[in-house]
Amino acid sequence: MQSQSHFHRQMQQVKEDLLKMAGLSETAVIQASQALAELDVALADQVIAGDRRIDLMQNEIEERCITLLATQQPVAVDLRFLSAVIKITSHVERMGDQAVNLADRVKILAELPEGEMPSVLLLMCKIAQEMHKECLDAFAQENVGLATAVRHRDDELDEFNRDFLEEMIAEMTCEERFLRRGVELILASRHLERIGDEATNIAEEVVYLVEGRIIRHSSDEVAVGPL
Amino acid sequence: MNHNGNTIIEVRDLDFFYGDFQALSNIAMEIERNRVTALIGPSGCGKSTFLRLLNRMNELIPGTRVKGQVLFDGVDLYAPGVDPVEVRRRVGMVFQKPNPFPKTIYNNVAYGPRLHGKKERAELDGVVERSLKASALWDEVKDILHQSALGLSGGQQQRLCIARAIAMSPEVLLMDEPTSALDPIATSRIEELIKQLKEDYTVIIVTHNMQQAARVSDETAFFYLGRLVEMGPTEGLFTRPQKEQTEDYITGRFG
Repeated sequence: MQSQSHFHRQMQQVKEDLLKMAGLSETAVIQASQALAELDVALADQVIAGDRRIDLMQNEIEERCITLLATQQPVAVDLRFLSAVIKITSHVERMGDQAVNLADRVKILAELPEGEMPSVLLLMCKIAQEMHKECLDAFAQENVGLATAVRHRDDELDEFNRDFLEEMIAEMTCEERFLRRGVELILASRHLERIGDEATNIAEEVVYLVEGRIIRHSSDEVAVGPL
Repeated sequence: MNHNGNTIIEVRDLDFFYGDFQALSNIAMEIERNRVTALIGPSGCGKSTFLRLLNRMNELIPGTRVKGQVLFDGVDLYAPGVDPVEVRRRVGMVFQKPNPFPKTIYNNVAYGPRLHGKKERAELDGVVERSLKASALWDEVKDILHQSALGLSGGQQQRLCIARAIAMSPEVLLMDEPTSALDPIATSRIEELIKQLKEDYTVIIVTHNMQQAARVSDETAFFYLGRLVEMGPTEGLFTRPQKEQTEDYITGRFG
């Protein structure tokens, strides 16, 4: 019994560390969004530099989960928890990567002739940030309702992404000089859409953790966007 | 409850008392043929008592009382006129500690069949060989059949006890913590053996080792305070148990 409670303390520590890692990734998404809105290269550089820490935390958390699986042979909710943490950690790391991709776009866009930042992209930034926060709140609170809301939110982001793609293609066809800028903006939209997908994946893991139901690839699965 | 072709044992409304103490309450369970069923639960939960009720071993203890039914192929084991010796032939038992007789390996296996009237040497040779092969011990002992069983290792002795049970051609094998006295290698051999045995027998195993239950069984039943809390396919019970008590027990959050 003693070793079990020690085990449960270790699991709690893993959860806290994952939430810390998620905090870093969330900050990266917020900062990358802000850098995009203001074409702030210094802030973009900060996001890029910060990603290393997120990557290292992923390795560390994953290693601890594997050790706990090997040494404690957990079952039931404990097994679902560790399996969910390993996957969620990887999704969080990818959200961090998308923030870095967004920061890369900022650095290129800042070199191009200036143009107004499309408001829909800024709206997408806001939705991506909210989804990032909410999927991890759902994990922290083991809240299936919130997880479900995140999954539905992804539809909205996908639709913006699709519409934005069409809009940009039309614009780029008319004005070839905007071609490069248009490609970068399309990529930015795609990065934001991917953050939404990762948040959705995390939400699905939360449902698995709480209810033991695998809802990935189920019939009510939210469609993924183009590209 | 339906008695379908796959059910070998059906327990109905079973209560069991040691004197005034009620050790089991209102147990209902169906056990399927050619499956391994694991009984788990904390010490004193009634799982071993339940196991022993399946071959009328408890009635050897004075002051005990059974209510309800244990139907074996539809016939109540506790009905008047049922011969407990015949019950124990059809439902064999392997205990926690290997308990070979202080005889030769051959005579350990041949003991039961001889008692039941098999005297022909050739026939006994056949039973001994078949039983030792079925318990995965034959290759190790075929050249030393007439040496003392007490010279075997613990794991070999336990497989010998399984061979001794098999020699009686039972339909069900009850195992009460059969590996708790064995090292990990001997344990894993017994676990492999259990998986093979279910081809020909129905196995019901009591184990304190939950990982063992998860590894060897098809169905798991969780007992607590003399009641059957939850029973279901092992895979489901160890990943998403339906009852909170089960989850608390298997994840070590008990008490």
